[in-house]
Amino acid sequence: MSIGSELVLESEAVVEAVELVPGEVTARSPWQLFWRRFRGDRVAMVSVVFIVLLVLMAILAHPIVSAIGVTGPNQPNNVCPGPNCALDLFGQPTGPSSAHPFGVDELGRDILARTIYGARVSLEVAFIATSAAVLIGVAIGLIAGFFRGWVDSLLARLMDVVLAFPILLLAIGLASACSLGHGCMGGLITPGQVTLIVVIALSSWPYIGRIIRGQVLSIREKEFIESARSLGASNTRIMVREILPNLVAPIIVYASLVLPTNILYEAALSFLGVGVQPPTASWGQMIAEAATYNTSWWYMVFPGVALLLTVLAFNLVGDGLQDALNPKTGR
Amino acid sequence: MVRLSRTALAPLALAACTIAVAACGSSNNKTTSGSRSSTPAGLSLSGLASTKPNPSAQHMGGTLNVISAEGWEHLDPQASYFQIDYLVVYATQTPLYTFTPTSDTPQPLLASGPPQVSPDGKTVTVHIKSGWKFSPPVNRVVTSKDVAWAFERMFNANVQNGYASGYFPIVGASQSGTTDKPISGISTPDATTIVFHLTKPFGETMAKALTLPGTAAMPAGSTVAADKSSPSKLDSNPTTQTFTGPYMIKSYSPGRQLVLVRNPNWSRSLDGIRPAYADKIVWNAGADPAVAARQTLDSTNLLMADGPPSPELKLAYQTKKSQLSIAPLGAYYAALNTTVPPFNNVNLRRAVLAIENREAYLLARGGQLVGEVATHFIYPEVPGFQQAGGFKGFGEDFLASPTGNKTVACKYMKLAGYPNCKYTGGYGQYGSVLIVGANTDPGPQEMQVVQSGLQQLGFKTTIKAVPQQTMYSKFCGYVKAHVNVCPTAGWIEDFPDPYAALFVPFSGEAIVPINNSNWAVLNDPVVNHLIDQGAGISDLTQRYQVFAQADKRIVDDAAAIPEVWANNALVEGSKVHGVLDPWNDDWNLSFSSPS
Repeated sequence: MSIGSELVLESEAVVEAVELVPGEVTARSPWQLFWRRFRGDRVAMVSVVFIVLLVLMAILAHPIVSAIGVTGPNQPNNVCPGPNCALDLFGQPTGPSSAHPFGVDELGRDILARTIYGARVSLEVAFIATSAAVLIGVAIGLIAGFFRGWVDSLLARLMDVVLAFPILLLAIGLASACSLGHGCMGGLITPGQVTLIVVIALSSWPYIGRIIRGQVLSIREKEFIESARSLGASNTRIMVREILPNLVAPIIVYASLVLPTNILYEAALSFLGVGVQPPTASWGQMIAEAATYNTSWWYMVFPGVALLLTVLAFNLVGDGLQDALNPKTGR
Repeated sequence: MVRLSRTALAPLALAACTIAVAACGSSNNKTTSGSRSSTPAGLSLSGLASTKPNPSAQHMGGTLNVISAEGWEHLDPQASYFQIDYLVVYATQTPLYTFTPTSDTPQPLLASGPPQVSPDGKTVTVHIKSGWKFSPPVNRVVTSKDVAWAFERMFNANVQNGYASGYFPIVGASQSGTTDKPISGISTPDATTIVFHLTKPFGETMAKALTLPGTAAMPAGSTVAADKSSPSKLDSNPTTQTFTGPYMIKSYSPGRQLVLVRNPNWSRSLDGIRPAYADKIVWNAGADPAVAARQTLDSTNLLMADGPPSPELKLAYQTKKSQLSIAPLGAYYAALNTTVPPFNNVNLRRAVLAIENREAYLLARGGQLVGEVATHFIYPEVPGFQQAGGFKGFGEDFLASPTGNKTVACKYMKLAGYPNCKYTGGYGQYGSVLIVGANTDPGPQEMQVVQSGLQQLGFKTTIKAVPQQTMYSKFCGYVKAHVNVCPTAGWIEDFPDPYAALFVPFSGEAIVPINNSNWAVLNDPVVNHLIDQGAGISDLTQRYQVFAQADKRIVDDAAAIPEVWANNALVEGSKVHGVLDPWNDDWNLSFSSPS
């Protein structure tokens, strides 16, 4: 019974079919149409390939680092003097060499290995925090938009309140308060990565919540919703079975756009010292540490480039998804 | 001594206040730039800046500009106990005795001659110069009652002095009260004589402690109202002090700026030691250390009061060597809390000492220009160093390898009950080993060096990087915080004597609930007894041998990882003439002159 966006996609399908095969109409599902459009976006496809490789690199970090032959991400090469010494006489990091292609940091740890392992933190935090934010945002936006009235007012104001929070200060405060021992809230918020995820998720759900609420306010007035209601469908069924499927496109598009933002969030919080615990490698933390060693260009450049390319790739994929799922915005 | 400042010598830092310091003393074998020709790794030390006084090349007048990353902690002379603060306090106040840039024996400053110690070591008599005047608006002559008042202030808990009870065991003195009240063990038979009656034969040691800034006279009775608040208003607003030094504090913005101007009542001839070249001293604090170091190196007229970060140190050494000076400082060590799990087990502590890569710690501080790997706690600048084993130390196997030794560490893990050489026991309130250190370089690197060793032994760790002052006031110096490891602590002796190097950081008698500088919270009766015993011995050979025994016992207790015997690297502008105080390992503002 749910059809909202499918109707739109179906009409698009007819147009494309006519364009592609004059005189013959080929039926394609909405997802076939989406994929057809998306794969035509070469920039987005290259970005997808990059992201896939990045994810594989993060998952297979250990064998990759072993295969390259560099030392592990947390292994200091600071037994000096000797073969395991990668620092100079002043204790300063040394630059790229055959043993350490990306150079080393101030403790003699291999930058290449730390950059590879750093992808894990960025992707884990970004994916988990984004998923949590989407879940919360969709649930609250759906309820607010569907029920309207005082429920909507209450939830909309809640979103306003959360959006008004100075998030960086909140993060620093939370991280500080929960950085010792067993953390806060009976161990729910613990130092490091979990704190990061909680902070990012709590701060980013209202954005998607607002969008979903707006969409629901529109969809709930459609005829197919009235039909479902007249057939005796419960509110829960209408929300889950009728409205939610029509929100898939905006959810995907928004999640793909908020994900790189959250990667940057993680980097920013790690830069401020709120992120993962040392010696775990994180790009933001590496950049922060490198700031002191302003003559050791390799220390900041490699994690910085990795962060830049990752965020760029996710943004380009997000744009591609938006274009493919909503042709009205096509370039 | 005094806590070291964060970068330069490193974190010396004792926090502001615990016991110790006095004017961090110096020792007979402290050296300044150029006295050694190279480091063990072959870095040449020739061509460094000259930091000795040079009256023929220095001139009166002008403004001396100082910059620092670190701010000030306590500028009240009776509270001051921090390397950076001493630069100001020794320029604005006049303790009974002082060390000078060229002498490591105490010179009478407010005093008119050496202190007289009774044969039983329980009475110390000091005569002060007549005619020394307080700054405006007091304008009167300093008397022995004003010196007595200074001691009464030191024992007022509101003033928060960190060393009085440790160095001045005066009859009737107690730091439990919050008022400036007479001390029965101090008498002033006339206007220029003050007599201290001690509870134990401590005269020889106390005589050296009279170089501490707390002995600077304060107008008797004038601070009663100010000292009712804690800290005293003389500390929170030091412009309200009465001064006896060459300079007065004209304006003070905490952590930001300090301006000193000449004290019109100070007499150069009566002083006899401090030339006080500059008419005015402007000190801007709170700068980024790297920026401050580069600004200083590019300037003609700046003195940087704390040390440059290691990249800038390397830059200075390679490109502006004549603006760089290096002098022995004190010691850095990683204190292991001996009172809470897991390091209330001596064998676990020894395992940690064995696994530690102290060379890496040294490199994190900047390499061999800024020190050498330590093996015990009486460091090279302290008399008695040779008796304590010299550079080699006492020969314990757990300190034999400067880069760490897994086999030895494993031996002690097994002795501690962990046959697999991995810690599987419990933790204290934090659920892991809590490591707290300064959040400015090289603190984070030092913490990670220590963490790396602990992780090799299977310890779960949590690092907490905080501002250095917070590290001392809320964590390492706050006994109830029960911090497991404080790896960025440093110490320089208050005066050239092993007592000053060991008592505050390692005697159980020096433990105080807040502003504690015995970061290991070590309370070993044997150590306490040996330190007490040594303090009462006037024969130097015998004295040093007893302190060497105390040092060895502390090493055997593994109360701390002796990381680095540190040097202090300082930078200055190309035309300013900075004069170094070897006893404080920092500039002496009364001897330095502007460009």
